Amino acid sequence: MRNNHRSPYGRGAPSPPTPTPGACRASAGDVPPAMPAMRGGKACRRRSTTPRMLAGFLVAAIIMAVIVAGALTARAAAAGSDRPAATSAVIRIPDLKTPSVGVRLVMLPWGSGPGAVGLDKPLEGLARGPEALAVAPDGRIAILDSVNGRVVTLDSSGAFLAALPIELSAPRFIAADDATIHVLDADEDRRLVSLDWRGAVLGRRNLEAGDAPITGLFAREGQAYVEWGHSRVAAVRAGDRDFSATQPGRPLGPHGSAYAQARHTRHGHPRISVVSDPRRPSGVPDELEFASDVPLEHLVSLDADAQGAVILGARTERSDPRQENAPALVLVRVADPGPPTTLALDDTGGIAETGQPYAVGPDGRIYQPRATEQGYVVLVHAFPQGESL
Amino acid sequence: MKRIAARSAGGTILGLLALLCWFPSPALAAIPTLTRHEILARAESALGTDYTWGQESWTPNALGAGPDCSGFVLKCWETPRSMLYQEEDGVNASISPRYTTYSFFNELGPWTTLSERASLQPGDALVRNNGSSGHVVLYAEGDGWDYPIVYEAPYTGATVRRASRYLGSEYEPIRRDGVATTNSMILDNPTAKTTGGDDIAGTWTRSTSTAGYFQTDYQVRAATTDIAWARWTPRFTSSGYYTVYLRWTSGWNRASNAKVTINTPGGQVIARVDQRSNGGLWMKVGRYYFQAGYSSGTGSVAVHATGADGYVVADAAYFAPSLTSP
Repeated sequence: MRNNHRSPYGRGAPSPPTPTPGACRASAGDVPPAMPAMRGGKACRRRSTTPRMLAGFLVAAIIMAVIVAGALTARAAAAGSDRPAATSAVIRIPDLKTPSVGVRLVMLPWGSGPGAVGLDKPLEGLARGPEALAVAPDGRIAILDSVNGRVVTLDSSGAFLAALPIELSAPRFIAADDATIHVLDADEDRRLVSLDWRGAVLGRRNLEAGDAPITGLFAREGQAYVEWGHSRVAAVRAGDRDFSATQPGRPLGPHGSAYAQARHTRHGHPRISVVSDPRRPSGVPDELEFASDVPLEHLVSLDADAQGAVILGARTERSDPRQENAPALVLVRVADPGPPTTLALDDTGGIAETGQPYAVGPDGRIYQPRATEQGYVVLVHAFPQGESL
Repeated sequence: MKRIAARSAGGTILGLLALLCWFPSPALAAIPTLTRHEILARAESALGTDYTWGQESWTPNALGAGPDCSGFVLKCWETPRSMLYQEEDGVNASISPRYTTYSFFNELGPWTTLSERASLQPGDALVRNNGSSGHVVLYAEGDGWDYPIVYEAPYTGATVRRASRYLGSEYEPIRRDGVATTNSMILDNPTAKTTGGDDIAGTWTRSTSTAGYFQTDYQVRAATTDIAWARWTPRFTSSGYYTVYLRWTSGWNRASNAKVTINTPGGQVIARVDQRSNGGLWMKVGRYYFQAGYSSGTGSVAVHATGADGYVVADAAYFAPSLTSP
């Protein structure tokens, strides 16, 4: 963050500035009404020591003490915080008519063999493809092939690396950094298992049932974070039993340089609050509001790329749910410097469920799974360069 | 005369045919009116039971065999009506023929496809079906992102769950016909409606003989020294104080001293109600603190026939959020 940030966005508006250290000192010195009373007390003391004069002196002393304490508190607060004025911006989301086609990174055949994922043919009930995928900062991809009890790893070009067995009954969440893959079964075992990229188990943590369902799993430099109800985030460490100590929000970016919280209500605009780590400045405003030309049904994702750009994804409301080729998903990338850019995707997953509709890579590209008759396809989409809204 | 007789016979045949065509199939018979909180409470009672293909029955609040995806929604929706007291009537076998995801997707039952997901309310459903496979989930609520939280019986090897789930464009929103317009937290009859679960103890009889009951019917039990109680367990949407009301049908033979137990996070509270009067009304029991979530042990109210001086009626319970603390 930086002082006196000026929004690069045409429709942005800085929020009212918070008091600066200089302003605090100015108000602390602005105490003339109290001073004459004290002087008057001293003057009266030379002529008289009546109880009335003593009472006046006491009142003056109390007022002085309050003023001095206030000044000290304000100065201490100013000295203890480098926080600049909060910044905000309003981002417009246009009604994009055409979804991105993307580039096919890889297609994995259905099955349980090496380099395959999912089932040869669906069982009854929910047709299950891989439940999720994650992209590490170095570009490697981890695909959660739950139905086969394993994680399938690919290199950044989509080439098969390994199939790592996992010991969980029904995991639906996966997150990865360069050293660790975290897998979470939020429904059956309620357990988080951490592996290295060769499959060695690094740790296990049990999570107690909470009233709010688990909605996210994140990996930042070896540390796993779990999110409940898209609102509460806690770091999950080995041996932890109490997850009440929460983070300011979702860890953003591949290195966790900032946290953010998003809120959305029906018929309202999404809002994001970004809490940046002061050691790693980011130019993205602290408060983002999104004004969409098409109604949004719900938010889908909140991430950041390695450049510190915040990426928000949402599902749009369409009047006809059977409308084909409608771009049901819209993503916005908010960077500094530069204008925001947008990307639309359709979300027709295909013949089987594939969990989250996409994952955001460390370079800001979007990895979208699709269950086709031939196999499990990963499409890669990129935000357009320099698009002006 | 012959012509008239022939015409008459033809008309009779046509009339019979028309009647046969018009007459609804058993599956389309009237379904009971439900409150949204009843649907959710029924869904909660299935959590943890095993997905069992082709089934729609489970013992509430107990682990073991459970439903498949469409059976789960059908039972929560009490559609057809025979599912209302399925276990209590000893009908644990699968109902055949039965609605499937194809029926849900193509409006082949007492429900309606919604024009948009923005209209979804708790207790509605989302369904997909591509002709060869399908899935249906029960919509619970949206979270801080309006992201869907659903109940579902997912697949063989898994258990019924309440989960945050992304639902792609293949899923269409549908609403059961006959859902009460009220959004109040009202549960008709004891939640689980079974002798096998933990919301009924002892044998209770269903009845409609005395007017004033809420919706379909009420349950009644003669005074006894045995253990006999009926319990309502809602899913509390938020922690806070709630005023608890009970409803019954009154009469000279009812209990004047029916015991009521309120299970709260702070322990069990005992009250008494006089069911010889005030039938057909929501009668206040008291005001209590409950925590968000579903727990029969710490978030429920029960009425007891044990030790009563007359018949005890278990008709309906109403939990009204109270904005101020005592």
